[in-house]
Amino acid sequence: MTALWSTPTSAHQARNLICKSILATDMAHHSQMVRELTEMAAQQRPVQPVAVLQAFLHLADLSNPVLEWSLSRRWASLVCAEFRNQVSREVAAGMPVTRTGRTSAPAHVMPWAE
Amino acid sequence: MLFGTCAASQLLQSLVRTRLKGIFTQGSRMSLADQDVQNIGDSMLTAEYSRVGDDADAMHGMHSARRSSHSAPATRKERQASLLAAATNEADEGGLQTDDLPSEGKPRRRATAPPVASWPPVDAQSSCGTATSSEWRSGLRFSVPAAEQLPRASTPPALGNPSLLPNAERAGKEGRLSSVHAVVSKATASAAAERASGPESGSGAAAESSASKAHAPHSQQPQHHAGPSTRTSMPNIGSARKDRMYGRASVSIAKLLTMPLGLKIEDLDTWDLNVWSFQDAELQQLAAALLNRVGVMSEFKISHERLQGFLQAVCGSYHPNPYHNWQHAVCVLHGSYLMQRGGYTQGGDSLSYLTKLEQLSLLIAALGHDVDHPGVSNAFLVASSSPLALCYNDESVLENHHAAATFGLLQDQRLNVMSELDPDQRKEARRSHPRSRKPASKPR
Repeated sequence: MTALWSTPTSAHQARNLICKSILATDMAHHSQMVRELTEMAAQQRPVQPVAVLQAFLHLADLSNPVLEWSLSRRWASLVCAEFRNQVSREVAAGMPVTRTGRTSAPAHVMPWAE
Repeated sequence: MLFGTCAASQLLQSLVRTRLKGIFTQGSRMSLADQDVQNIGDSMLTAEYSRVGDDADAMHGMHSARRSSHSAPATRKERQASLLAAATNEADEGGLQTDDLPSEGKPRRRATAPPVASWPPVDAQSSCGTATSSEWRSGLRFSVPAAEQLPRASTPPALGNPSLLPNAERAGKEGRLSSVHAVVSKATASAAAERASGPESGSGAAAESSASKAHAPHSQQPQHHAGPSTRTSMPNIGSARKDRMYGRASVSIAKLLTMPLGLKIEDLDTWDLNVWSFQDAELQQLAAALLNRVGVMSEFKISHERLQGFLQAVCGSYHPNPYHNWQHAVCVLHGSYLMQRGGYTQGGDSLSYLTKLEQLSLLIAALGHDVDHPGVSNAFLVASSSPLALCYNDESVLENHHAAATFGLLQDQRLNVMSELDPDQRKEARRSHPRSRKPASKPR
């Protein structure tokens, strides 16, 4: 990196926040984040800004079910289409079909499906 | 000895497999639900994609035609063309951006990746929508745009700088570097001559004016390709204009901070915003409007040129996936915007708990949170030993890549919307902190 990030400027700070927020959108951290948020809400303790940002971005990433029905349905069908693409790739390549594509995300995008 | 090594590696592989299985299949109830989910999705998709055209638009208020073209399988001929393009471009794609910031105006030197012969595991014969193997390879590199890929970031687009006219060589290079439409590069060789000699109307104003014709997904006039048809209609590739080489539309700086047609600024404050009713260029306007409404643009002196270049680059770095696409990014940006301002309020005042710096970080993170998404999950990348998974050690592969790609874009000083966050700015940013703000000290 250049000198832009070499000193702890606010640009450095912003970079830190952005990276941590994006990394927190990994669904692998979902349950842990939900657990922590529940604890925070229960205990009413002060929250770090980075945790707020992570929560906001992650919630916005999964905000499809709160949208209007037609929009929500469209997003859900599209995510299914993407997962089907992946499955057909896996089948065509002779790979074992990873089921994460069809379990985790639609369960969040379409919670009523369970 | 050799046998022992083989056995060990097999054991390791089976261990990894079982670990993956254990993680990803959690009980039979889930798998039943999967089936339901897939059935539902199937039926919805077939219902939606079979109704292509204006009546579907009228029915849903969405651009069904546009979406459907994404999932329409390419013909064999096009697949072959894309394969050919991928083969010729292989040397240019893949690998990390290792060099430092280039001097202004000088094209970046792209480090060539170690050849990955065994990945992607599927050739273009698979029926996976429009995502071809060339796109796969393109997904493996950081989306740092080459200098000549973003001419409008440095020059006002309304001028239509004649020095940026693509000659045959440049056009070919741009086609190769286009992260999404590598297919285009096949057509580049034949189309370059006529494009270079033909009337160059690729100024941002023209592109924008055509893009601003909302809800006209399939215009008959050939110059109206800046809108949704940039992603569609393979047969029209031969008549590609300059902005199609980037695969995306752009919006002029003059129009950047205006709202898309038929949208009021208050409409941004509800969850009812339908991102599907806008075209790519209009979504860039929308993103700029959201940033502007939060107030980070004036706070951090983000120039319109930088913002326009950044939004165009981010938009162009999203693949035309069914889900993880530019619309998804704007949707998430909008959701983040609503959440950071404390939900929907009538007054219009921000109830935000966050500082301006944190707001800017959140919005940029939202814009870049799925950038260069290849359309498959982390598990797929790990299981197929993709270069990305090797690069990030199987840990949050995609998320790492999204963050890295976002900052790859921001490395270009013409796109770096955070370039004004210097130490002076930091003081002001701190002063504007709602938790420590002095009532008397108003920044600027």
